[in-house]
Amino acid sequence: MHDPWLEKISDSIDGLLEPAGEQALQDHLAGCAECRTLQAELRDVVAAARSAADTPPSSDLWAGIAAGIRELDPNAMPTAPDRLEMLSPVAPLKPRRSPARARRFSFSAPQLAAAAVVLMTLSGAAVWFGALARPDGSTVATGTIIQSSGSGPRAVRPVGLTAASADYAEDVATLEQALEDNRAQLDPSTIEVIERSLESIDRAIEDARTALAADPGNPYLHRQLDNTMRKKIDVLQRAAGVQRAQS
Amino acid sequence: MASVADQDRDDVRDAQSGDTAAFERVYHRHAARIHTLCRRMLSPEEADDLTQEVFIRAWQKLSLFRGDSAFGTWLYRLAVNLILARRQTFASRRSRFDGGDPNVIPMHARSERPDLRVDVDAAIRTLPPGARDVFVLHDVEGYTHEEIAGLLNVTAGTSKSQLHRARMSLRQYLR
Repeated sequence: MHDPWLEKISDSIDGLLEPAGEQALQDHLAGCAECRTLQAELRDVVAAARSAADTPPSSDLWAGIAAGIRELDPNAMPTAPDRLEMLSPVAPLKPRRSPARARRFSFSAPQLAAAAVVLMTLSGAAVWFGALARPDGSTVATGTIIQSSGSGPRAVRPVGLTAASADYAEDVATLEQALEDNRAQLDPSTIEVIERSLESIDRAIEDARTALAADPGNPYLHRQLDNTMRKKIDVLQRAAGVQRAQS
Repeated sequence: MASVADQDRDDVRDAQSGDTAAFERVYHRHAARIHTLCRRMLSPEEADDLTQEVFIRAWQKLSLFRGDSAFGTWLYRLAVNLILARRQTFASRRSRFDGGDPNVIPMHARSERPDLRVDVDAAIRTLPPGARDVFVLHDVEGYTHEEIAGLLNVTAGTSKSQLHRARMSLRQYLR
Protein backbone atom coordinates (compact mmCIF):
# COMPACT_ATOMS: atom_id res chain seq x y z
CA MET A 1 0.00 0.00 0.00
CA HIS A 2 3.04 2.23 -0.03
CA ASP A 3 3.14 2.50 -3.73
CA PRO A 4 4.35 6.07 -4.12
CA TRP A 5 1.81 6.75 -6.82
CA LEU A 6 -1.20 6.09 -4.62
CA GLU A 7 -0.81 9.18 -2.45
CA LYS A 8 0.28 11.25 -5.43
CA ILE A 9 -2.98 10.41 -7.17
CA SER A 10 -4.86 11.57 -4.10
CA ASP A 11 -2.79 14.75 -3.92
CA SER A 12 -3.32 15.36 -7.62
CA ILE A 13 -7.08 15.23 -7.18
CA ASP A 14 -6.74 17.92 -4.53
CA GLY A 15 -4.41 20.01 -6.70
CA LEU A 16 -1.59 19.66 -4.20
CA LEU A 17 1.14 18.46 -6.55
CA GLU A 18 3.83 20.75 -7.83
CA PRO A 19 3.92 21.03 -11.63
CA ALA A 20 6.87 18.65 -11.87
CA GLY A 21 5.18 16.08 -9.67
CA GLU A 22 1.95 16.41 -11.60
CA GLN A 23 3.80 15.87 -14.89
CA ALA A 24 5.53 12.77 -13.51
CA LEU A 25 2.20 11.37 -12.39
CA GLN A 26 0.60 11.99 -15.76
CA ASP A 27 3.51 10.20 -17.44
CA HIS A 28 2.99 7.24 -15.12
CA LEU A 29 -0.76 7.16 -15.64
CA ALA A 30 -0.29 7.05 -19.38
CA GLY A 31 1.29 3.66 -19.04
CA CYS A 32 -0.53 2.22 -16.00
CA ALA A 33 -4.14 1.16 -16.41
CA GLU A 34 -4.38 0.10 -12.77
CA CYS A 35 -3.49 3.58 -11.55
CA ARG A 36 -5.87 5.17 -14.03
CA THR A 37 -8.66 3.03 -12.61
CA LEU A 38 -7.66 4.00 -9.10
CA GLN A 39 -7.63 7.67 -10.06
CA ALA A 40 -11.13 7.40 -11.51
CA GLU A 41 -12.42 5.63 -8.41
CA LEU A 42 -10.90 8.15 -6.05
CA ARG A 43 -12.41 10.96 -8.08
CA ASP A 44 -15.77 9.25 -7.69
CA VAL A 45 -15.28 9.13 -3.93
CA VAL A 46 -14.47 12.83 -3.77
CA ALA A 47 -17.39 13.69 -6.05
CA ALA A 48 -19.75 11.63 -3.90
CA ALA A 49 -18.53 13.40 -0.79
CA ARG A 50 -18.94 16.84 -2.32
CA SER A 51 -22.44 16.06 -3.50
CA ALA A 52 -23.57 14.65 -0.15
CA ALA A 53 -26.48 16.80 0.92
CA ASP A 54 -27.24 18.00 4.41
CA THR A 55 -30.45 16.60 5.78
CA PRO A 56 -32.38 18.04 8.70
CA PRO A 57 -33.13 16.02 11.83
CA SER A 58 -36.17 13.79 11.53
CA SER A 59 -37.92 15.71 14.28
CA ASP A 60 -37.78 19.33 15.35
CA LEU A 61 -35.24 19.56 18.14
CA TRP A 62 -36.05 23.13 19.08
CA ALA A 63 -38.32 22.24 22.01
CA GLY A 64 -35.46 20.51 23.77
CA ILE A 65 -33.08 23.36 22.98
CA ALA A 66 -35.56 25.94 24.26
CA ALA A 67 -36.01 23.93 27.44
CA GLY A 68 -32.26 23.84 27.92
CA ILE A 69 -31.99 27.57 27.33
CA ARG A 70 -34.74 28.31 29.80
CA GLU A 71 -32.98 26.30 32.45
CA LEU A 72 -29.75 28.15 31.79
CA ASP A 73 -31.37 31.52 31.45
CA PRO A 74 -34.86 31.86 32.95
CA ASN A 75 -34.96 35.50 31.86
CA ALA A 76 -34.62 34.67 28.19
CA MET A 77 -37.46 36.10 26.19
CA PRO A 78 -40.00 33.44 25.31
CA THR A 79 -39.93 32.08 21.83
CA ALA A 80 -43.55 32.66 21.03
CA PRO A 81 -46.71 32.88 23.11
CA ASP A 82 -45.88 30.02 25.36
CA ARG A 83 -44.97 27.66 22.62
CA LEU A 84 -43.24 25.42 25.08
CA GLU A 85 -46.36 25.28 27.17
CA MET A 86 -48.27 24.16 24.11
CA LEU A 87 -45.83 21.35 23.51
CA SER A 88 -45.02 20.30 26.99
CA PRO A 89 -48.34 19.26 28.50
CA VAL A 90 -48.84 16.28 26.31
CA ALA A 91 -45.62 15.39 24.50
CA PRO A 92 -44.44 12.02 25.80
CA LEU A 93 -40.81 12.03 26.76
CA LYS A 94 -38.13 9.43 26.51
CA PRO A 95 -36.22 8.83 29.73
CA ARG A 96 -32.89 10.58 29.77
CA ARG A 97 -30.20 8.31 28.51
CA SER A 98 -27.31 9.29 30.68
CA PRO A 99 -26.63 11.64 33.58
CA ALA A 100 -24.16 13.51 31.41
CA ARG A 101 -26.95 14.55 29.10
CA ALA A 102 -29.08 16.59 31.42
CA ARG A 103 -31.31 19.26 29.90
CA ARG A 104 -31.46 17.70 26.46
CA PHE A 105 -34.62 16.14 25.23
CA SER A 106 -35.44 14.56 21.97
CA PHE A 107 -38.89 14.22 20.55
CA SER A 108 -39.10 11.52 17.95
CA ALA A 109 -41.40 11.79 14.99
CA PRO A 110 -43.93 9.35 16.54
CA GLN A 111 -43.82 11.28 19.79
CA LEU A 112 -44.44 14.55 18.03
CA ALA A 113 -47.19 12.94 16.03
CA ALA A 114 -48.76 11.71 19.25
CA ALA A 115 -48.40 15.16 20.73
CA ALA A 116 -50.00 16.66 17.66
CA VAL A 117 -52.93 14.27 17.93
CA VAL A 118 -53.39 15.16 21.56
CA LEU A 119 -53.10 18.85 20.84
CA MET A 120 -55.64 18.53 18.08
CA THR A 121 -57.92 16.66 20.43
CA LEU A 122 -57.49 19.27 23.11
CA SER A 123 -57.92 22.03 20.58
CA GLY A 124 -61.04 20.35 19.32
CA ALA A 125 -62.33 20.10 22.82
CA ALA A 126 -61.48 23.73 23.43
CA VAL A 127 -63.27 24.80 20.28
CA TRP A 128 -66.20 22.66 21.25
CA PHE A 129 -66.25 24.15 24.74
CA GLY A 130 -65.97 27.60 23.25
CA ALA A 131 -68.89 26.87 20.99
CA LEU A 132 -71.02 26.33 24.02
CA ALA A 133 -71.04 30.01 24.76
CA ARG A 134 -74.01 31.36 26.57
CA PRO A 135 -76.65 33.08 24.53
CA ASP A 136 -75.51 36.47 25.80
CA GLY A 137 -72.16 35.82 24.21
CA SER A 138 -70.21 35.00 27.33
CA THR A 139 -68.49 31.68 27.52
CA VAL A 140 -69.02 29.01 30.06
CA ALA A 141 -66.90 29.61 33.09
CA THR A 142 -64.39 27.01 34.09
CA GLY A 143 -65.40 27.58 37.63
CA THR A 144 -64.23 25.98 40.76
CA ILE A 145 -67.63 24.88 42.04
CA ILE A 146 -69.21 21.76 40.67
CA GLN A 147 -72.81 20.84 41.09
CA SER A 148 -72.73 17.19 41.83
CA SER A 149 -76.00 15.40 41.66
CA GLY A 150 -77.55 14.58 44.97
CA SER A 151 -74.88 15.98 47.19
CA GLY A 152 -75.00 19.70 46.66
CA PRO A 153 -72.17 21.91 45.44
CA ARG A 154 -68.66 20.70 46.06
CA ALA A 155 -65.78 23.04 46.32
CA VAL A 156 -62.84 22.32 44.09
CA ARG A 157 -59.73 24.41 44.46
CA PRO A 158 -58.65 26.43 41.48
CA VAL A 159 -56.12 25.06 39.04
CA GLY A 160 -52.73 25.66 40.55
CA LEU A 161 -51.78 22.29 41.82
CA THR A 162 -48.34 20.88 41.76
CA ALA A 163 -47.36 17.37 40.86
CA ALA A 164 -46.52 16.73 44.47
CA SER A 165 -49.86 17.96 45.73
CA ALA A 166 -51.76 15.37 47.71
CA ASP A 167 -54.91 17.24 46.84
CA TYR A 168 -54.57 16.47 43.19
CA ALA A 169 -55.93 12.95 43.30
CA GLU A 170 -58.83 14.08 45.43
CA ASP A 171 -59.69 16.91 43.06
CA VAL A 172 -59.49 14.68 40.01
CA ALA A 173 -61.69 12.11 41.71
CA THR A 174 -64.22 14.79 42.62
CA LEU A 175 -64.33 16.13 39.11
CA GLU A 176 -64.47 12.71 37.50
CA GLN A 177 -67.28 11.70 39.78
CA ALA A 178 -69.15 14.88 38.92
CA LEU A 179 -68.65 14.18 35.24
CA GLU A 180 -69.91 10.65 35.67
CA ASP A 181 -72.91 11.76 37.75
CA ASN A 182 -73.97 14.22 35.10
CA ARG A 183 -73.05 12.16 32.09
CA ALA A 184 -76.64 11.94 30.94
CA GLN A 185 -76.76 15.68 30.45
CA LEU A 186 -74.12 15.58 27.75
CA ASP A 187 -74.36 14.56 24.16
CA PRO A 188 -72.56 11.24 23.45
CA SER A 189 -70.27 12.94 20.95
CA THR A 190 -69.31 15.44 23.63
CA ILE A 191 -68.59 12.65 26.06
CA GLU A 192 -66.43 11.02 23.40
CA VAL A 193 -64.37 14.17 22.85
CA ILE A 194 -63.86 14.62 26.57
CA GLU A 195 -62.91 11.02 27.13
CA ARG A 196 -60.49 11.05 24.24
CA SER A 197 -58.85 14.14 25.68
CA LEU A 198 -58.61 12.59 29.10
CA GLU A 199 -57.17 9.36 27.73
CA SER A 200 -54.48 11.29 25.88
CA ILE A 201 -53.66 13.28 28.97
CA ASP A 202 -53.51 10.16 31.10
CA ARG A 203 -51.06 8.62 28.67
CA ALA A 204 -48.92 11.76 28.81
CA ILE A 205 -49.01 11.70 32.60
CA GLU A 206 -47.95 8.09 32.59
CA ASP A 207 -45.10 8.81 30.17
CA ALA A 208 -43.90 11.70 32.28
CA ARG A 209 -44.01 9.57 35.41
CA THR A 210 -42.05 6.82 33.68
CA ALA A 211 -39.43 9.31 32.54
CA LEU A 212 -39.25 10.76 36.04
CA ALA A 213 -38.75 7.32 37.52
CA ALA A 214 -35.62 7.02 35.39
CA ASP A 215 -34.52 10.57 36.09
CA PRO A 216 -36.12 11.79 39.31
CA GLY A 217 -34.07 14.96 39.63
CA ASN A 218 -34.94 16.37 36.25
CA PRO A 219 -36.75 19.69 36.68
CA TYR A 220 -38.06 19.71 33.13
CA LEU A 221 -39.79 16.39 33.64
CA HIS A 222 -41.32 17.68 36.85
CA ARG A 223 -42.72 20.65 34.96
CA GLN A 224 -43.94 18.35 32.25
CA LEU A 225 -45.83 16.22 34.72
CA ASP A 226 -47.15 19.24 36.54
CA ASN A 227 -48.40 20.87 33.35
CA THR A 228 -50.05 17.69 32.18
CA MET A 229 -51.82 17.19 35.47
CA ARG A 230 -53.04 20.77 35.37
CA LYS A 231 -54.36 20.13 31.91
CA LYS A 232 -56.40 17.22 33.20
CA ILE A 233 -57.93 19.34 35.91
CA ASP A 234 -58.64 22.02 33.32
CA VAL A 235 -60.42 19.63 30.96
CA LEU A 236 -62.48 18.20 33.79
CA GLN A 237 -63.42 21.66 35.01
CA ARG A 238 -64.40 22.69 31.53
CA ALA A 239 -66.52 19.58 31.21
CA ALA A 240 -68.19 20.43 34.50
CA GLY A 241 -68.83 23.95 33.25
CA VAL A 242 -70.49 22.59 30.13
CA GLN A 243 -72.67 20.34 32.26
CA ARG A 244 -73.77 23.31 34.34
CA ALA A 245 -74.52 25.33 31.25
CA GLN A 246 -76.68 22.59 29.82
CA SER A 247 -78.52 21.74 33.01
CA MET B 1 -34.18 38.82 -0.06
CA ALA B 2 -31.59 38.99 2.70
CA SER B 3 -28.72 36.51 2.54
CA VAL B 4 -28.21 33.88 5.21
CA ALA B 5 -25.29 35.91 6.54
CA ASP B 6 -27.46 39.04 6.78
CA GLN B 7 -30.25 37.14 8.49
CA ASP B 8 -27.76 35.58 10.87
CA ARG B 9 -26.26 38.94 11.71
CA ASP B 10 -29.62 40.43 12.66
CA ASP B 11 -30.90 37.37 14.51
CA VAL B 12 -27.66 36.76 16.37
CA ARG B 13 -27.63 40.38 17.52
CA ASP B 14 -31.18 39.98 18.86
CA ALA B 15 -30.36 36.61 20.39
CA GLN B 16 -27.40 38.17 22.17
CA SER B 17 -29.96 40.39 23.86
CA GLY B 18 -31.85 37.33 25.06
CA ASP B 19 -34.37 36.93 22.26
CA THR B 20 -34.96 33.20 21.89
CA ALA B 21 -37.30 33.72 18.95
CA ALA B 22 -34.36 35.12 17.00
CA PHE B 23 -32.21 32.22 18.14
CA GLU B 24 -34.87 29.77 17.00
CA ARG B 25 -34.62 31.24 13.51
CA VAL B 26 -30.86 30.74 13.67
CA TYR B 27 -31.46 27.15 14.72
CA HIS B 28 -33.75 26.47 11.79
CA ARG B 29 -31.26 27.90 9.32
CA HIS B 30 -28.36 25.80 10.59
CA ALA B 31 -29.98 22.68 12.04
CA ALA B 32 -29.57 20.55 8.94
CA ARG B 33 -25.88 21.30 8.56
CA ILE B 34 -25.06 20.76 12.22
CA HIS B 35 -27.18 17.64 12.48
CA THR B 36 -25.58 16.19 9.38
CA LEU B 37 -22.12 16.91 10.73
CA CYS B 38 -22.99 15.19 14.02
CA ARG B 39 -24.47 12.24 12.18
CA ARG B 40 -21.42 11.81 9.99
CA MET B 41 -18.73 12.33 12.59
CA LEU B 42 -20.48 10.41 15.38
CA SER B 43 -23.57 8.40 14.63
CA PRO B 44 -27.23 8.88 13.73
CA GLU B 45 -28.16 7.79 17.25
CA GLU B 46 -26.14 10.55 18.85
CA ALA B 47 -26.94 13.28 16.35
CA ASP B 48 -30.17 14.60 17.91
CA ASP B 49 -28.68 14.84 21.35
CA LEU B 50 -25.50 16.49 20.21
CA THR B 51 -27.28 18.92 17.91
CA GLN B 52 -29.27 20.13 20.89
CA GLU B 53 -26.10 20.42 22.90
CA VAL B 54 -24.43 22.44 20.15
CA PHE B 55 -27.23 25.00 20.06
CA ILE B 56 -27.55 25.21 23.84
CA ARG B 57 -23.79 25.73 24.08
CA ALA B 58 -23.95 28.28 21.27
CA TRP B 59 -26.59 30.19 23.24
CA GLN B 60 -24.31 30.13 26.28
CA LYS B 61 -21.35 31.41 24.30
CA LEU B 62 -23.22 33.82 22.09
CA SER B 63 -21.80 36.84 23.83
CA LEU B 64 -18.35 35.71 22.71
CA PHE B 65 -19.30 35.85 19.05
CA ARG B 66 -17.95 39.15 17.73
CA GLY B 67 -18.79 38.75 14.07
CA ASP B 68 -15.18 38.40 12.95
CA SER B 69 -16.23 35.42 10.87
CA ALA B 70 -19.57 34.27 9.54
CA PHE B 71 -21.82 32.99 12.30
CA GLY B 72 -22.19 29.68 10.45
CA THR B 73 -18.42 29.22 10.54
CA TRP B 74 -18.29 29.99 14.25
CA LEU B 75 -21.16 27.62 14.97
CA TYR B 76 -19.65 24.88 12.85
CA ARG B 77 -16.32 25.09 14.62
CA LEU B 78 -18.11 24.97 17.95
CA ALA B 79 -19.91 21.85 16.77
CA VAL B 80 -16.68 20.18 15.66
CA ASN B 81 -15.10 20.89 19.03
CA LEU B 82 -18.08 19.46 20.88
CA ILE B 83 -18.10 16.39 18.68
CA LEU B 84 -14.43 15.78 19.34
CA ALA B 85 -14.91 16.34 23.05
CA ARG B 86 -17.85 13.95 23.06
CA ARG B 87 -15.81 11.36 21.26
CA GLN B 88 -12.96 11.72 23.70
CA THR B 89 -15.34 11.39 26.63
CA PHE B 90 -16.87 8.23 25.33
CA ALA B 91 -13.83 6.86 23.54
CA SER B 92 -13.04 4.10 25.97
CA ARG B 93 -16.64 3.02 26.16
CA ARG B 94 -17.03 3.07 22.41
CA SER B 95 -13.90 1.04 21.84
CA ARG B 96 -15.33 -1.67 24.04
CA PHE B 97 -18.48 -1.79 21.96
CA ASP B 98 -16.74 -1.44 18.62
CA GLY B 99 -14.59 -4.34 19.56
CA GLY B 100 -11.23 -3.32 18.58
CA ASP B 101 -8.50 -1.57 16.86
CA PRO B 102 -9.67 1.76 15.51
CA ASN B 103 -6.92 1.60 12.90
CA VAL B 104 -8.54 -1.33 11.22
CA ILE B 105 -10.86 -0.15 8.52
CA PRO B 106 -13.83 -2.49 8.33
CA MET B 107 -14.78 -3.59 4.88
CA HIS B 108 -18.49 -3.71 4.32
CA ALA B 109 -20.33 -5.32 1.55
CA ARG B 110 -22.00 -3.07 -0.92
CA SER B 111 -25.71 -2.65 -0.86
CA GLU B 112 -27.57 -5.80 -1.76
CA ARG B 113 -29.85 -3.58 -3.80
CA PRO B 114 -27.65 -2.24 -6.58
CA ASP B 115 -30.56 -0.22 -7.86
CA LEU B 116 -30.41 1.91 -4.75
CA ARG B 117 -28.26 4.99 -4.74
CA VAL B 118 -25.17 4.41 -2.67
CA ASP B 119 -25.57 5.96 0.73
CA VAL B 120 -22.52 8.13 1.20
CA ASP B 121 -23.32 8.64 4.86
CA ALA B 122 -23.47 4.91 5.45
CA ALA B 123 -20.13 4.56 3.71
CA ILE B 124 -18.61 7.28 5.89
CA ARG B 125 -19.78 5.48 8.99
CA THR B 126 -17.65 2.49 8.07
CA LEU B 127 -14.50 4.55 8.60
CA PRO B 128 -12.61 4.61 11.88
CA PRO B 129 -12.98 7.89 13.78
CA GLY B 130 -9.71 9.54 12.75
CA ALA B 131 -10.10 8.87 9.05
CA ARG B 132 -13.80 9.73 9.23
CA ASP B 133 -13.12 13.13 10.80
CA VAL B 134 -10.55 14.07 8.19
CA PHE B 135 -12.67 12.82 5.31
CA VAL B 136 -15.78 14.70 6.47
CA LEU B 137 -13.88 17.89 7.17
CA HIS B 138 -11.78 17.81 4.00
CA ASP B 139 -13.82 16.18 1.27
CA VAL B 140 -17.32 17.00 2.46
CA GLU B 141 -16.81 20.34 4.16
CA GLY B 142 -13.83 21.68 2.29
CA TYR B 143 -11.42 22.35 5.15
CA THR B 144 -7.71 22.42 4.29
CA HIS B 145 -5.25 20.02 5.89
CA GLU B 146 -3.79 22.91 7.86
CA GLU B 147 -7.21 23.83 9.24
CA ILE B 148 -7.95 20.22 10.07
CA ALA B 149 -4.60 19.89 11.78
CA GLY B 150 -5.54 22.79 14.02
CA LEU B 151 -8.97 21.40 14.76
CA LEU B 152 -7.89 17.86 15.44
CA ASN B 153 -4.57 18.66 17.04
CA VAL B 154 -2.59 16.58 14.55
CA THR B 155 -0.07 17.48 11.89
CA ALA B 156 -1.08 18.35 8.36
CA GLY B 157 0.81 15.25 7.24
CA THR B 158 -1.30 13.06 9.48
CA SER B 159 -4.41 14.67 8.08
CA LYS B 160 -3.28 13.89 4.53
CA SER B 161 -2.43 10.35 5.45
CA GLN B 162 -5.81 9.77 7.12
CA LEU B 163 -7.58 11.27 4.13
CA HIS B 164 -5.80 8.94 1.79
CA ARG B 165 -6.71 5.93 3.91
CA ALA B 166 -10.33 7.04 4.05
CA ARG B 167 -10.56 7.49 0.31
CA MET B 168 -8.97 4.12 -0.36
CA SER B 169 -11.47 2.47 1.93
CA LEU B 170 -14.48 4.30 0.55
CA ARG B 171 -13.39 3.59 -2.98
CA GLN B 172 -13.99 -0.09 -2.30
CA TYR B 173 -17.30 0.62 -0.63
CA LEU B 174 -18.59 2.87 -3.37
CA ARG B 175 -17.19 0.89 -6.28
